[in-house]
Amino acid sequence: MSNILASLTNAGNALDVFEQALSVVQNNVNNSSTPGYATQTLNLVAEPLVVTGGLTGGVASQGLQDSRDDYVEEQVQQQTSTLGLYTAQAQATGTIQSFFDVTGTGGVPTALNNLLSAFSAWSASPTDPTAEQTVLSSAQSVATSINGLANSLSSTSQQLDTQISSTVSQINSIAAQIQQYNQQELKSPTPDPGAEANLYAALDNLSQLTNFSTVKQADGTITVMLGGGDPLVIGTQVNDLSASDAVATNPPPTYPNSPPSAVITDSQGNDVTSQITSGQLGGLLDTRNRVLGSLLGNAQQQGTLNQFAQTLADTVNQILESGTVSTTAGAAAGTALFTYDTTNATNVAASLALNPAITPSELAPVDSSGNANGNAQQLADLGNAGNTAGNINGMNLVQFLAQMASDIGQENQTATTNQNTQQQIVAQATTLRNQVSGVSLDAQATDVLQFQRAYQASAQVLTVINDMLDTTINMMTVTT
Amino acid sequence: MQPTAHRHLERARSGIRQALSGWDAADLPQVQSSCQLLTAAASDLRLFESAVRAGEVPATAELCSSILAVKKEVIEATRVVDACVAFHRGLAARTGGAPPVYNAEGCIAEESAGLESEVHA
Repeated sequence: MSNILASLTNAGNALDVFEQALSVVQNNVNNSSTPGYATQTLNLVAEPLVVTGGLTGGVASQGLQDSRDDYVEEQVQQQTSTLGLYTAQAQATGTIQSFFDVTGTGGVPTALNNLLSAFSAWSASPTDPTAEQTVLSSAQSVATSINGLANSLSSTSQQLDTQISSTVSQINSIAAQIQQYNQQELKSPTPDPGAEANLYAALDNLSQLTNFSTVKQADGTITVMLGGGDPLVIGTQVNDLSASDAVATNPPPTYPNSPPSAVITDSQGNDVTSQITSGQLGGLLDTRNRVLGSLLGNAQQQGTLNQFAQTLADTVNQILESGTVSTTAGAAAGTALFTYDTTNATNVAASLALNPAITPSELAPVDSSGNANGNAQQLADLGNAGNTAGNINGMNLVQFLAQMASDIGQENQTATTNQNTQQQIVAQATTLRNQVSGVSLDAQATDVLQFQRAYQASAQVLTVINDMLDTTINMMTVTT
Repeated sequence: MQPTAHRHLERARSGIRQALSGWDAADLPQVQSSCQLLTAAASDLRLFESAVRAGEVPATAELCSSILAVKKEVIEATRVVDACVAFHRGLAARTGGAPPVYNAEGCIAEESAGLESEVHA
């Protein structure tokens, strides 16, 4: 009789276990589109059967097993983070690029060309009041357009600061979600597929924003560290980040009054900016501090726009002040055409202005040797190739301005190309994650090797193609 | 440019594009199909290179620009494929299976020689 009861009990227990297994399968189906969800399987084990010893056999569950693989997750997160970097760079540099008019129909290049043309016309008629007036109005336009460019770049800098703050808030919010997961994990260590799905969806979202690494602790909690190792979440502790602006003091600043750079600090006040090298935040910081810093200046550099504005003003002023307003003996010396903030080398472009004290008759076309249009001619020549006056890094003013526009164009083009390629790489990594998810990796070892060989074959052919293209290009260069 | 040589370059470019657009890292036949397209592109480029070497193709700025455009697409394809290679290298190590043996160029040693001769044939 007891054997029959034992059998019935076993059958009942087995039904319970298989019902659990069915629930797990149903849960997998229901969550097939849930972000971060990975297929679960219920581990079934046979209970020992010893008829004489009272062990009645049967089947029991031994908990859920997750099909998620940490390596694969990390790969997708890293690639997503890189995509975030390129996307942010492409958007931000696209905005900056739009301020550099390369069509020649507006902006600083046109204003500069008009000024050089005005100098040229003035050199032909050095005593013509209309030509003198045109020089002043063209100089005013140059100053205004340079101010406008500097202001547009400063506004972009502020907009990037806002985006940086917003991104930091999103990171802190995700860190808080991970903290909640950890709290739950400590309270109830039983695996919860729903909570795991939320965790991994949160980590996927975090990877779009910044670079990080994770470590699963023995107590089931997840530790999240920024790229450089600074902890973001440890157990139930969150190390909130914050964004601010500051002039870097290490190394000591060459330009202490320069525009501040964006700085990210942790809750202890440690500067962790250098640890954020990827993700949307990495892209925003790179454009804000490196790209805009190179144009507007920062603690260590004057900025190419300020360099351009100062060289233009100094060169024009020096030429004018070295001459006289007419060839008459005892004629008055020339007056400076431009003024700017001489106390701050990183504020030249924003403060450049037409000298408010100058009048048309105070322009000095006569050079120090007494040539009636010597100065005006020197000014007109500033944009000519081969002219050395007003050169910056071996380029004349027009070339330097074109180089600035070209550099930012190159930044944008590189970021956009990288973004397009990275989109494909992320798509591939996600596809591979889906392929791997739900299968035993050990059973897939042979397939993995087959894929590896197929990829490698393609990589090899691409290397050969690349070498052939290099050879062909070299042959072309030799021929031309 | 000689029309035939031009056709080889264009066909190579088209093959590389098709290989990249059809690339599906999780589909082995598709990966192999992309590889075949790349091999055909390599053969076309070999013919183009021979024509240039023989002086049959006048070097022009337009031609240089076309070659650089192909090179740009090759670099893009290489990055995508390299990412997949890196992914599976890690996965191979993760599964604990016998990992492929790589030579100094980072290629699977046993296959490099054969593939090289196939491409150059």
